Amino acid sequence: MTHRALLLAAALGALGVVVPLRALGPAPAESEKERELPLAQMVGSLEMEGRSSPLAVMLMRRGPLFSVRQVVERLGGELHVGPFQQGHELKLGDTSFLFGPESAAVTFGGEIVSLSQPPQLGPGGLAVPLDLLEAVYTELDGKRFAWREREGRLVVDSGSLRVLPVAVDVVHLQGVSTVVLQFPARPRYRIVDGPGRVTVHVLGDRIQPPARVARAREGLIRDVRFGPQDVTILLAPGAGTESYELADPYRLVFDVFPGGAVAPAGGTPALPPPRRDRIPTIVIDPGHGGSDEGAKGGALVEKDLTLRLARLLRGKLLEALPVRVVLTRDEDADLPLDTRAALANQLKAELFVSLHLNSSFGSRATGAETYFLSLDASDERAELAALDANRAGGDPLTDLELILWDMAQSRHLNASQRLASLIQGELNETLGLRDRGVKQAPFRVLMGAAMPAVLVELGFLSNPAEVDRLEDPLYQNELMDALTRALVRYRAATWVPAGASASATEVPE
Amino acid sequence: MRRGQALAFVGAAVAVGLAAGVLWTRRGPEADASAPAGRPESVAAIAGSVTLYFPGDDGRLHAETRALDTDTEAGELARRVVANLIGGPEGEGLFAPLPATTEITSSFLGADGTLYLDLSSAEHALPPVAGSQRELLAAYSLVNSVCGNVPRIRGVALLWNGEQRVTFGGNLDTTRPLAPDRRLVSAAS
Repeated sequence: MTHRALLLAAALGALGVVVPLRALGPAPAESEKERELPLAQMVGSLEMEGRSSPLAVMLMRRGPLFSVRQVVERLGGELHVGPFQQGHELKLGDTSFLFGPESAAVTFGGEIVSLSQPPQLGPGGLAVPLDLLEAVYTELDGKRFAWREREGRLVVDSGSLRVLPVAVDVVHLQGVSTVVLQFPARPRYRIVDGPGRVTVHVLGDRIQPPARVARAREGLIRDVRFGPQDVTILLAPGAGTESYELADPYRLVFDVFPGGAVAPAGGTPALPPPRRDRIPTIVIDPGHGGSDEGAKGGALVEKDLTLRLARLLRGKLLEALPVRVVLTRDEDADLPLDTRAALANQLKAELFVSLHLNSSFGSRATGAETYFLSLDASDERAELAALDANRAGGDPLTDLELILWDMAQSRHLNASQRLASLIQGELNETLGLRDRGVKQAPFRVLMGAAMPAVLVELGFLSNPAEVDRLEDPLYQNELMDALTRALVRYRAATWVPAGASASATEVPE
Repeated sequence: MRRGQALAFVGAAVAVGLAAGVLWTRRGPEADASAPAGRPESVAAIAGSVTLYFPGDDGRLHAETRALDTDTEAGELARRVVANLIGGPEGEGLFAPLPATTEITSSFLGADGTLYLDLSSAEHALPPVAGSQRELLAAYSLVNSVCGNVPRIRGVALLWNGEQRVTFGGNLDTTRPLAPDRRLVSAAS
């Protein structure tokens, strides 16, 4: 089947012939400018170690995009392309990078980072920005890139990795073990938590391990092991870690707690013992923000009220549940929709709740609505993802097929529907709101969330009477009480003790 | 003799009809070109009718049937449908999905049945559809009406001011063509 995105690009290209792009008045939010047509396309060259090879380049407003296939052919690595060319996996050593067209996010080792611009499909296949190449080849392999646009040359310096000696101290005190990694300079690194272990991956440098590590098999530590670019701390069963940095000299410190009882930051009172092996996170997303004001009604502006309500909900959830609550924004700021879901993914959040205020034609509409994602049945990618969501016992799909970042939500639709029903039920019963029902829509902010995710419309700013209610702090309190009850009920219904095999997010129908 | 007269009459009627049809076909594009962009066209149809879905204040789309010349190619028919939507409903309690100042800058029908519809407004740099219900009703008013009346069109890619935006009004994903959604249509329709 012809690739839909390619058709789209081709059609947009054709459209571009007759539709000159116009400068907008006010600058739209960054997220709204991601899709653009190339200023030019060219066959440039990739030069490394005195040898030159052709390289397809798309010149975009925000910089060049390079054919990832042609780069990998020269620089090494394995490139796997998923169905419809949507998912691309670039594997270098033990590290896999997952990315795709039109999404300015790349994931590796459980992390998601934003790119300067989204990759685009072009004549040389998927074309990616320079910062993606640097994330792969500079960070892991020490290669340096220089783009000479006038000559169309991408020059690669093979470079060489720094060798960083690391000293390791292990301390056991009052039931807590501490591992201190000391470096001569702050390295670039990322931390990956795994079952029974935590690993520090050093990016762009090599590690010179110490001759020995004292007390590395005592207390809550089972061992400390070294690879060329990583340090792995093996933990006692059930232990959890919290990391922080110290300066002069630079140290990366891991406090290891028994039973996963990680002390909360900021010296706040200890939380009740967590039910799972780490503190679960709920991400609350105050809709809109910054230049994107959302709907307006009377003196109320959606972006302000959603933030106020999100802060209120955070306080209530922290009182009601042993959870960490993170707001996608805690100020009046622009925040792209994809970044909101990416933040929840990065935090491995259990739930994602986006708060909004509604508006409609006329002034009669009233009440709350709760949405979960709908997949457009005509979208082949969605069909694939939905197929996976419902597949049981069939041929396993590869990770690459499973991870379609902009459709990550497809695997959690049943749980999202259940969450939406609980929220809508609480809002209806408690507040006597008109039941507008649980609904589905292809809302962008929900698509990338890799956990149960809902969007709640808490009332209509197009209805003056509802605006009056929404301005009342008591009513705001009642609304957030209802949401809190729904989330407590959801967690109670879905909680799975540590060690159980089922995912906490799988809700039986 | 009577039979001969009847045949002659039918023949003359057919000839007149054909001539009118040819004349209309030739006039069509010229008339369209002279019409102000984005304004509703004449609904004094010679043949055909369309069903348009307008937003209501009950949060649903409501069908309104009106006469419209449908004897044209798919892309042009889609453009006429959208122009009539922007022109507004005839019934009470219904609304035009977009302001009357909205213009159809261009439309392009892809081989896969996707209509790329570029809308614009001198008054609105972004689609004026704040609020998810308003956004959904406005978008699917266009999509349901176009796909419902032009069988060749399977989905609509919405552009505003020449750009395909991530969302239409802040929530609804428009990075892909939208397929019709019957769930938004009033049961009475």
